[in-house]
Amino acid sequence: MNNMLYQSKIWLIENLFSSKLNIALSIFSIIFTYYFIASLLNFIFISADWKVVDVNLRLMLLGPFPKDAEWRIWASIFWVTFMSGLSYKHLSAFHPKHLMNLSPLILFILFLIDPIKNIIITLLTLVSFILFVAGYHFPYERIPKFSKSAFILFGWAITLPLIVIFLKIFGGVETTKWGGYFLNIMLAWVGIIFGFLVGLILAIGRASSLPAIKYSCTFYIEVIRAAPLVAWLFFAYLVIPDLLPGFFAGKVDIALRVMIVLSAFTAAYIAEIIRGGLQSVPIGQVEASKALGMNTYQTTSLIVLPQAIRAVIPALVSQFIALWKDTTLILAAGLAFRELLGSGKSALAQFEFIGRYNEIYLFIGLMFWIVSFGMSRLSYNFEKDLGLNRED
Amino acid sequence: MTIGNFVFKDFFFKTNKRKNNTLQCIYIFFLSLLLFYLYLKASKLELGFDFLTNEAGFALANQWLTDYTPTNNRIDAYVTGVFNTIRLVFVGIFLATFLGVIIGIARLSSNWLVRKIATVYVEVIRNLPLLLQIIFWWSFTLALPTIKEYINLFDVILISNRGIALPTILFFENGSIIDFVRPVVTVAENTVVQYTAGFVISTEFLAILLGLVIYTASFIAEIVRGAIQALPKGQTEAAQALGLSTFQSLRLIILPQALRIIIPPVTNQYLNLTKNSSLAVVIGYSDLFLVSGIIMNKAGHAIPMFIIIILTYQSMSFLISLAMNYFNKKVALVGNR
Repeated sequence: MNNMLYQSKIWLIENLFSSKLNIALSIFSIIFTYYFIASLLNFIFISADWKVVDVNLRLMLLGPFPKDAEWRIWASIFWVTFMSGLSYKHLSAFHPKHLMNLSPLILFILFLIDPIKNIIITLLTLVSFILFVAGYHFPYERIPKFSKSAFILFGWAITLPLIVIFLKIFGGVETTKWGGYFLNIMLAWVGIIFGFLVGLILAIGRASSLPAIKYSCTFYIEVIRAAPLVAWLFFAYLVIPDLLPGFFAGKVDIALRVMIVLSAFTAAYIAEIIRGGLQSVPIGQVEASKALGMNTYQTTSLIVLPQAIRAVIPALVSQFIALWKDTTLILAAGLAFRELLGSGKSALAQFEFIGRYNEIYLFIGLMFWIVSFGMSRLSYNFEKDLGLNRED
Repeated sequence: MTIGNFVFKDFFFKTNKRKNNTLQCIYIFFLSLLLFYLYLKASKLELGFDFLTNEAGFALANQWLTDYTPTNNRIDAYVTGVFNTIRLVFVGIFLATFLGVIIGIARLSSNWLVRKIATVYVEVIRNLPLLLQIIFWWSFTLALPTIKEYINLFDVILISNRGIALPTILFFENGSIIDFVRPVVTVAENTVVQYTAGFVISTEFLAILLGLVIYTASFIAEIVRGAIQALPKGQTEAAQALGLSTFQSLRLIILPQALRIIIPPVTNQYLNLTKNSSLAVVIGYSDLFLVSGIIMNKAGHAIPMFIIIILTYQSMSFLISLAMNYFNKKVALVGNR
């Protein structure tokens, strides 16, 4: 016991009070931290009125999504949790410790949802948790002709089409009825997948030796990067309908236009990132694969691209996080449909909740923060798994 | 030969020049077909630039260095917006660099608490949408006391929800070289209460500035931290052995060397800040994007306006890159210039 006291004393002196400057800094930081944490806790548990979030929870999560079509969302959630369970077992990047870190947030969300009042939602959440466990114990090794990773990759590849089918089948929900957090997730998901695919093509095109292809790709990348995303969203709203052929004009609604712009915008940035990766692959790799008798397609897909993409995973993930955060910009472009931040603002316009912006913004911030932080942690662990160097 | 050359050239044809040319011809044919179609569609819209000389007819809340009134033409309105953006970007870059360097150094402090506070700052701010932060700061500035109950700090700074008023600095006037004029709030009967003297920072400017600075600083902090960590540890140890204090070793040994690594990624952050300044449109700070949005709403002409927007942002980015490249050459090692 004495020893422990002594140890903690040593720790305190070494880490907080080692010099005059450190003593001053520590005292200042302690006062600052105390004041900050005290006022935050005071706000969360005493002065805040969480009714504004409670009443508008559905509006902020789903927007104007029809109530009798909610099973479509639940079906998508079930599929995603099942796939997550499957991947959880396979990828060592995941670790139970990370779930422990998330537990305060889960508690906070439970606190918001009010499990006793919304018994159906609680039950459905439990079902998705059970599906996660089922995915974890799914005996996919017994299915013939599939390797583990191929099975998981295939599962994730069909996820987006499957969700679209869930949302559209049997006279589904119009995209104008999408909204809230769900809309953010869909926009980011579509943007990441198509942005990555188009960006890959653009990167290879820009590195080409054929001038026509090289310069047109370069032109596209530079023009897109020149203007901010808000401007391009505005462009989608004002100009794209005039440029489309007549038979398309009615079909390309605003949600689809936003998805196109987000993908096209992200593609330009991802192309630049992958170009950096391509430049980092030594030419000896290509020569070696040629010497092994690989054809060009094999060399590109098996030797060059994996190394190029592996080298730029951190940059790619930060770009994906930027896209996730940028899905809020459809509010700035003044588009007619409401994602999480827009729904929050319309909740603030309700008469009884005027001035309750702290509660709303804290909730919205938390919802965005969870996903961004989760993505950055995931990429960090993934890099560690791949054995990439990274300081800290 | 680069990888890119190899990837594309050998991908379809085995580096055969004639096949390459055929491929390019087909590509150019389809590209020009697409461009021609787009031109046909676009030519039905208004493409001229003469709408800019018409009277603007809208007022702008914020002005800097310009005397704009609604009777001026649209070019003047746009120029006012450009100046507003330049002011925002200039002040924003300066403050974000200052804050970012401090936080970046704090992340490597030997003081545990300071280190943790800086880490929490970076991890929280970096992962929240900028738009949310700007709207939050806007609500924050709007929740300040009204101008009738303004906060008075020693008669030097006045704070209210109309903005923050600072003393005006006068040079070579009233018979002295430098002179300060205190800010004043005039309260007259049955009239508007307003600031009548002093340098007033509007709430919109304050909100967008706070949002941009705090957000960009978190990215700059990470760059600074990475650069300092990339330096060999011997540098710090040698500085300590020479008897330099922490501050001296930072100023004389660490930061000058880290600067070489810092400049290229920080330039990227400056360009991001420039483009993010367009988010001022949400809170009504009249930057160039807000002004062009109003013009497009009032007069249409979306395509010419977009060409102007792209060119303006591109030239601002170009100027920033030029300045930073010049600076980069100044700090580069002599052999590497």
